[in-house]
Amino acid sequence: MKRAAPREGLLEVRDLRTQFRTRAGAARAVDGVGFRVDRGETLGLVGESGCGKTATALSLMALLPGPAGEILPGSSIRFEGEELVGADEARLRRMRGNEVAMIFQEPMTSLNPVCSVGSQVVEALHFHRGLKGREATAAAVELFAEVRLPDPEIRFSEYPHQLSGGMRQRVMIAMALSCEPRLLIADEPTTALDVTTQAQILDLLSDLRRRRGMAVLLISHDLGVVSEFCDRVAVMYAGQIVEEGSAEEVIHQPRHPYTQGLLASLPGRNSRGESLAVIPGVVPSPIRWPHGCRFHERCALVMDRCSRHPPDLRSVAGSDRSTRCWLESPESATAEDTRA
Amino acid sequence: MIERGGGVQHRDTGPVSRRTVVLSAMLPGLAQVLQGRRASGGFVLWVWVGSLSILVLQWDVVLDAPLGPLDHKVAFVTLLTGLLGAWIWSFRNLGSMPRDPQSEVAGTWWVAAESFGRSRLAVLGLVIVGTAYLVVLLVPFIAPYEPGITAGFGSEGMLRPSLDHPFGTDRLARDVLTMVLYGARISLSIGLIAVAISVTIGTILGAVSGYLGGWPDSVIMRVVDVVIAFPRLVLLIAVVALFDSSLMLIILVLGLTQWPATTRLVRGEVLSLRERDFVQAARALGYSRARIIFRHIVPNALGPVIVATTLGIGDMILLEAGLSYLGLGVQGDVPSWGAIVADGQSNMLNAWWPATFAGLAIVFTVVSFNLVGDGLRDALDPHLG
Repeated sequence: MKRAAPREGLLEVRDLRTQFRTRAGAARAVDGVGFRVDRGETLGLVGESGCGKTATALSLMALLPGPAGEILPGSSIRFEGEELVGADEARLRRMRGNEVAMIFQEPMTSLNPVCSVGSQVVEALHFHRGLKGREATAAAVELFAEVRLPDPEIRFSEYPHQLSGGMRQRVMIAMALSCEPRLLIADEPTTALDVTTQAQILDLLSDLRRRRGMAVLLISHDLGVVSEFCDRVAVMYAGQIVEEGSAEEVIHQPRHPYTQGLLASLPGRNSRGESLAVIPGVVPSPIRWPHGCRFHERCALVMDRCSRHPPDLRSVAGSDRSTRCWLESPESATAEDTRA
Repeated sequence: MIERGGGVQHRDTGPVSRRTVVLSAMLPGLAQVLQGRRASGGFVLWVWVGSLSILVLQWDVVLDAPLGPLDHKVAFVTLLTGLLGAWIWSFRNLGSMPRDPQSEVAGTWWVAAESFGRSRLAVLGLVIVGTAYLVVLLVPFIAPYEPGITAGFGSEGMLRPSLDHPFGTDRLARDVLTMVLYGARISLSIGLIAVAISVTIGTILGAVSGYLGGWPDSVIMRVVDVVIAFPRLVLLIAVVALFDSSLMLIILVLGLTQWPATTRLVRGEVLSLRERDFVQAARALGYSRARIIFRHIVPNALGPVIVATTLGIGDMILLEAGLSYLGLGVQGDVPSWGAIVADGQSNMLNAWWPATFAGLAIVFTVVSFNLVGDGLRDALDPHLG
């Protein structure tokens, strides 16, 4: 596990375990995740579909679909030092929107179809800042301008179905900003958009982050996006973090075979015409995670001990990064192996 | 039928000719009809011509109305509103061009209104229903005779339809046309108020039940089961037998037994709506449950509710007619449509006119409500469902 941080970050997650009860059994979608986001910092959370990224985000917002989804006792989510696991609903509601805001993957369906986009932002402004009437309208138009929505006054009275996906995502961002959050959770904010719009939205997000000093937790399956946008990266696999470090280091010198696989599967400039590399197999079911290292069934560098003992997340000597792989600590592994 | 009113920023305004202005001052709505907006222009023209003819034909009655009894005052205000409204609407819309669907900036409701307007039958139904409610408000100016007045008992009873009595007279020598017009007041207000009660209760309970789930859901749905399982006619007969059957009592009993259908409908809608992303987004903004339910979910569930409301009004009118037919309806000096039918059917072979005309009024109104309901369903389903 991660050692205690020398100074308290904005958001500090420790040993987060989230479970969904299903008919087939309990699904541990998030199983012992820990990370830290400092003020104004951007952390990227990367991984394939089904590895627990969104469940982590929903746990942070306390928006798990109840009663099937629950955060297990022993988990800890501290925001500015205050424990949020087990906090009452009133406190959580104050946190949502005021301190932490979230934008979602599908801008097409994340806006209320029967209200004009302007009125939705006005509602958020009224709810969080108590603005009314002309004041609220002016503030909403200002926000629209800040998120670079073209013709903000005209868009104000339009309805979601009249806007493009990129414009809707800008409206979502405007709503999220309406309460001046200190942390913005962006759950695959660009996945549903085309590539040029993606770049614009990411550009906008990093601009807003700089200007407002807001921390961002960016969830994505796209290492390329994350490497451009984030300070640090945490790679998730099967409900756990398998590698964490500065974006530059993780992208350029990935240590975990899973990260290496993800990077190899990115379409690159030099691989034109060749078929893309893939990681064989799929993410295992969260109802029955594999024994030992959860990645061993798909790993190219699998060793004997991988299927028997789960590796810990260990810091890599002499750096600010950590990884969860037996390759990192052959001695201790051998020792354990012989003991077993 | 319905076009976008104010709040439109970019609409082409062309030059308006002097002739058009004069035309609009004389006959509001005609200019719009000539421009191709037949439904809305036609309705305004119809309101204008109707109100004006009432004003001219019933000049004395209208002049006395402001000092007369309450229903005369209401009728007076309605007439003035109709005249002024037609005028103002006509001038506000003068410069606007016929709609171009491509360029119009329209919300979901306007898209639905446009689709509704394409169905001729639905628009016809809406015009009939609209006219019926106008008649209810204006009845003191329209009815040829005073209600409840019997002219020379025996001598003028059972007169065939004639110019003096277009629908004939009944056995008490009452003018049937007057009775049908005043009866509309009872039948239509029962329909409207009872449905308003049931839809309000049904929507609130259904939304709460669907959104919260768990035990509130179970409790509400079991109550729904009980109310639905209880035979309503028996309940009505029992209540009417126990108390005097006043108009308010009938409305309350009808309204308080109709809501379970709406509750089930809304609950079903809400169950699917609460999983939608925009509800999740509203939760992520920290909105309270009440705000999410009533500001974000209910407006999205209104499509089917509106359809059920329209169809429900027709049902209510029929149910009240049935009650009156059984002799359990509203007792008062002015009979409702059902009571006229019940009273007339005993003399059906000698005098067919009272029962027939009142029956036709029921049929036309209920069919119109059903046409409007069907039109609304077609218009609202694909957009809001």
